[in-house]
This record gives sequence, structure tokens and C-alpha cells, in this order.
Amino acid sequence: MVQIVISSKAGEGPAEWLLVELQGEIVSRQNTGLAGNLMGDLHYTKESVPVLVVGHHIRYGKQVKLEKPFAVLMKHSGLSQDEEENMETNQENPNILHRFRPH
Amino acid sequence: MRILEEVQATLQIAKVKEEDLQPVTYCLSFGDNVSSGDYCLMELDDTLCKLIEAGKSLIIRGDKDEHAVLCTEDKTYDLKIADTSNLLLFVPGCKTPDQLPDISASPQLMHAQIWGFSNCYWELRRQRPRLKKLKKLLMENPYDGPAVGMQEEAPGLKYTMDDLLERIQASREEIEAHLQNVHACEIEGFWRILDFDYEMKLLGHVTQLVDSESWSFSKVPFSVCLEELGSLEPKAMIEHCLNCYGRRYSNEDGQVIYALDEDKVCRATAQLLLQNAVKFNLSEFQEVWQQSVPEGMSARLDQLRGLALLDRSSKPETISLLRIEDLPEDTLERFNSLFSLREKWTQDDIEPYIQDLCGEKQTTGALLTKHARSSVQNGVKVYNSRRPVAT
Repeated sequence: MVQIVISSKAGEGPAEWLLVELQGEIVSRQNTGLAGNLMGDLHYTKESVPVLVVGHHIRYGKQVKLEKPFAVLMKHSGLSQDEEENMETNQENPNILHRFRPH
Repeated sequence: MRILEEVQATLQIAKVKEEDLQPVTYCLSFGDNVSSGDYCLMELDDTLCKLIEAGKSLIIRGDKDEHAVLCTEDKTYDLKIADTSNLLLFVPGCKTPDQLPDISASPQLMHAQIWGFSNCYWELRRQRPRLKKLKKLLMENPYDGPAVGMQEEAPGLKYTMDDLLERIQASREEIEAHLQNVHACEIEGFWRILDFDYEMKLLGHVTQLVDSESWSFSKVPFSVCLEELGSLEPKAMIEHCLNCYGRRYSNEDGQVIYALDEDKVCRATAQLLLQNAVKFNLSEFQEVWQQSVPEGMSARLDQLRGLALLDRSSKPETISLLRIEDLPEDTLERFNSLFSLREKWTQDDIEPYIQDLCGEKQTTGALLTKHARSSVQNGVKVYNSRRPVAT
């Protein structure tokens, strides 16, 4: 049986991250892959409304508390002989989910 | 690297007024890791969240032909992939307005990297663990007493707790609880289930001793048991039997005493009788059964829920062995099996055989509504299968 262990970094609890939800897909213009490329600028209005500017598009969003927290699991290849893969967790901040819709 | 002036220029083109915005802007770019695919998103519930925050580990388990499950120390969860039509980006180190400094500061550009993205995530749903496999594994090689004379114990598969953890899709605590339920015993580091006849032999020794000493069955002195029975069976087995069928406590003098459990003893006795034939005349069975249980114990039909099935429609009324652990584990298969044994069931009769299928906060009534059809027969509500079943 395969057993995959999920653990978080010893000592500290997992960090909290931001989750941004967007409609649609993201593709790099020259199909060169996304790594290193700019995505967009994230602003907040004085009323704390998140605004995302991607290329020429403006998206207005909403800050939403996640109903259930998410964890990001990252693969770590195991060094042991049995089939154990370790994954680390980083936790999505349950308070923040920016939901962007076309305006 | 993008600078503040460029951001401000973009805002102008996009016709977004800078004075409406807070001073801090995040420039988001994709990190190196985004396309690696070496990550995934998983939805948690509060319990799991707290466990992870406390540094505890979770384990995903599954064989090639099984659906993966996630286990904590004491619970098991089903894993299912959920698709979303949207894209989810995860950005570490990006703050929200409530976490940012005062509005009156001057414009500032911060850089944040998108660490990864996904359009699907793992959903977890608490489920009852699949433990039937546990008994099946242990039954490959039941223990029926120590090796006799020079004979070595017959070779066969034996499992340690770690072996079991590797084969059973359940948490450690759930496995430990089930081992207790099936009266398994750890012998020389291996978990063994007792051959039923051997288990009854042990119980017989104890009840006969209680009888011959005229003890109350709720005051069985442990040391005397060991003294008297130690020559017949290993002391560890005598103790195991007492633990399975009684409750251990200390009296005022500090002596270890066992109180035998009437229900458990009567139930085991019934099984011993019922396994010898397909069906019994109910009244005859009740007579023999009462005579077979220790003096002072009352054999009652309600002790047999989940073990035996009564047929009150036949003349004479009959009783037969039907153990819940012999039925399929899967919900649909369980119902099919029950309805092929008997076309129509009252709720009272079927309840002990479906109780374990209930999800968290689900009642047997809800289960029946979902998987069966009800009708009224002779003024009594009965349930039958929703689909044609081969009888």
C-alpha cells in the first residue's frame, strides 16, 4: 500500500497565504511558460475593494472569507526505501479569497 | 522588474483613479515553481486545520485498486477531486487591506510571487473506515491455543500493528478499537484473532469455575482464576478472556476482580448454539440457550441484535444466525444482501444490520428513505428494495 505522509515544517505552523480566484484561464502570450512572467497589479481601493489589472483588463473583486481552509501540499521526494512521499503544507488564509469577475 | 511609475502609467491608461486607491500595490508575477505540478490544493475542515497547525501529520493510504483515504490518528476521510471552473492562484506574502499600513502613506510598490495555481482541489469527506479487511486478514491464521508438545505452531501469516497499518485504510485508533471488538489479542508482537471454538473453550473454563465456586458472576477473583485455570490454558489467555467478557476493577481490599458481562456471555453462547444449524425452532432454542448460560444470567432476545434474525411469520417461529460482520461492507451491497435474504423488513429488524452504515449525523431512518421503499403490511410499516433483487 502506498502511504503518503503530510506534515508541516517542524517548529512553526504553516504560513498563511492568499488565495486569488479568477475566472478563465491564464496562458502566456508566446507560449514560453509562465514562470518569471508578470501577471498583473493588485490594488485595493480606499473602500478595500481589490482591483486587479491584468494587461488591459481591469477586474474588480471581493474579499471573501473561505468557508473551509485550504492547504497547499508540496511534494518532497522521500529518501527512504519504502514508498513514502512527504508533502509539506502551507495554509491558505481562511480570511482571504479575492474573487475577481469581469466588470 | 516593474517599477511604480509603470504601474501608475497603467492605471492612467485603464482610467482607474489613483486617489481612489490605497497606497500599497502588489505586482504579481509567476514564480519558478508554478509549472512544476509538484503541488496540489486540499480543502480542510476545522479539525484537520488545527491538527496541521499543531504540527501533526496526516497520512494518505491506498492500494492500487482502492480509493485513496486520508487518515489522522483517529479518523478516516474519503478523498475526492473537485473541479472548479475558475483558476485558483496561491500567493504567499501578499497582504490584505486590514493588514496594510495606514492609508495616508505614500504610494508603494511591493512584489509578490504567485507560487502556484490550480483549477481543482481535493475534497475531504469523513467516512467510516473500511475495517472488514482487518478481520479477514486475521482470520487467515486464527489462534487456537499454544503449540502442543514438541509441535511448533503451524506456519501462517501473522501481522504486527505496523503491518496492519500498511494494509487497512483506517486510522490507528480505529484499527485498535476494531481489534478490541473482534477480541483480537497481541501474542508475541503479532495481532491474532482467536478461533471461535477456542475462545468459547476459554470462556467455558471461566464460567464453569464461577459455577463450581458459587461465585457471583460480577465478583470473579482474578488471582484465583489464574491459579485454578493456569494449568489448563496460558495465563495470558485466561486474562484475555476475562478482559473480553468482563470488566476489571479493584475491590476494597485492593484485589483485582472481574464482573462478567451478562449480555456478552449470553450472546457468545447463542452464537455457539446457532452456528450448528441453519434454523432453529425459536422456543426450543430459547430453552436450551437459557440452560446453557451461567447461573444467574438472563438470556434475552434483545441481546442478539446484529447476531441473529427472528422469523415471526413462520409457524413455528424460527431463529437463525445472521451476523452483521458476514454481510457486505458497501452500503448498496449490504442492502441488496439484506433484501435478498428477506423481501420485507420492519425497521426494528433491519436497524441493527444497517446502523454502522450511517454517516455522521445520519439516522437509520434517513438511510432507509434513501435505499428502500416503504409500504404498510398488516398495519405495520415495512421496507423492501427499490430495485429488483434476486432471491
